[in-house]
Amino acid sequence: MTEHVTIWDRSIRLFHWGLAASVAGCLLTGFLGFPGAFDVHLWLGTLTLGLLAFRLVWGLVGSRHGRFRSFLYGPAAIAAHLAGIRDGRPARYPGHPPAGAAMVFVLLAAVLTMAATGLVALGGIEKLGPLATRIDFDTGRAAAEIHAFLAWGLLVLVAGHVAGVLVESRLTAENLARTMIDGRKRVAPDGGPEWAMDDDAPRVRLPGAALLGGFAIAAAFATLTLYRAPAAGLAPDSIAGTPYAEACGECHFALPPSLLPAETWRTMMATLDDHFGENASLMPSTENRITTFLVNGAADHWDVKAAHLFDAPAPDAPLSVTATRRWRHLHHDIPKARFKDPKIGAETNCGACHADASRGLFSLRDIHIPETDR
Amino acid sequence: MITSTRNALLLSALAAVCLGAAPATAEPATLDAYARQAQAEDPSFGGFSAQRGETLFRARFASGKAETPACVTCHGDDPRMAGRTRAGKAIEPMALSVSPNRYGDIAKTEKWFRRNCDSVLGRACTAREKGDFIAFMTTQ
Repeated sequence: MTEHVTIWDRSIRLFHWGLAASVAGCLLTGFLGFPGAFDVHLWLGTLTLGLLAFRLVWGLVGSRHGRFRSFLYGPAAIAAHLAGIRDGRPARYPGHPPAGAAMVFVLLAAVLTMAATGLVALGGIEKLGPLATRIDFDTGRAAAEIHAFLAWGLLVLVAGHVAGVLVESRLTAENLARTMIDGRKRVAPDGGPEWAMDDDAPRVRLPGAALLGGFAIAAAFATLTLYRAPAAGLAPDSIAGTPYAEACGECHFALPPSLLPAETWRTMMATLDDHFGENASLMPSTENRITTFLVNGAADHWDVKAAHLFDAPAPDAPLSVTATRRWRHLHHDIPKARFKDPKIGAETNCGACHADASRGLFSLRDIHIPETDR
Repeated sequence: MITSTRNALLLSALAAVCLGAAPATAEPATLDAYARQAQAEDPSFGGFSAQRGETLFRARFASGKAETPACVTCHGDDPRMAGRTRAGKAIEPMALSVSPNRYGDIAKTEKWFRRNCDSVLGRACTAREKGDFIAFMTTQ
């Protein structure tokens, strides 16, 4: 006669599958980067942060086997548990077994680090989110590098977690994935009083489903508002309609001044009689006015990402943005012929795909590549 | 004053004759100004020629910048059609029949002759060349 008891409360179970779904979604949108992925990534990333906050609280005041203290095992216990797995007869635990518990802590730490580095990167690079005013570009870029590197680590951890559950399920003849759905486990033959969801410790009871739904809605709201556009002063104004945009826009997309350093603009304006193979000279008064406009709005004055990305000029074309190694890398997956399509025209026509190019933002979410024939 | 006006009228009449069979769709004041200049640059100036203008429009030059050997490089072979800058922007058609206001603003016209004659020919255009060019475009 086997007896089953509820081990995982409803909130823990909801949290588990909510986190699994949001982390899977984050990995998918982060790695694949299809159109619209950025918004979904931000939404799920924020939801993940909400879920983690819930889990941290639940680890202190939740039911017995969800509390962190109940699955803090030392190296010796973990080694003994792993030895049991090696021998094909792991000891059974009502809550997380030692190796699984270690994985839970590592996974939580990894996901927390992902969410934190994501927010720092979002603030520093895109000038969006709660940290936009506090994080500079270089910090944001460092965080983004950790974020991207750790994503692979998280992928490995998730695979390890799933593999561990499969092995443990097989060896203990209990479907552990199912126990995370109905919350119930088979009581061990010598099962003591710890084979129960609750104990004498005081426990806070929260409406888990409502809480998770609330997090999802709050995260979506944050995505639509907090991440919509940089606050005033953090990014340049649009150049549309300025004398500069009118004059230079006659032949080509007028680059936002924040894309290039003041020194490059000065050289550019001093060599207009041989401007990328054409004479584009202006009357001296117009030339002076536009030079001043460009120098005042140059990359030197802004911390937006576009002001940092093209600071290493190509040796054979020091005035060109599209010749820089970074520009080429960022656009390497777009066939050259596609730029020649009448809807785009040329590589220098930033505005054809970047809806916010005139503000110098080049946000990931504002990339809309037109349907082209080539 | 009176003399110069009469001269201008005379010259534009002369220009109109030289345009040949195809009638001009408009006679921009810019053309008059170029006629006066051409007369000053070369006293033997005998009026503008749409045919010479077309030759100029279609010719390829080795003397200018390598990227722009001819007017048609960017403006295209058919003056009634839009051209395209090397940076991919559309250029309003050159033909006066399609772009009636094309040469109305002399400052703008001068700006583009200044730039483009240097780019394509590697030198400034003469007033006669500019007038020939516009004369050709008035027939298109």
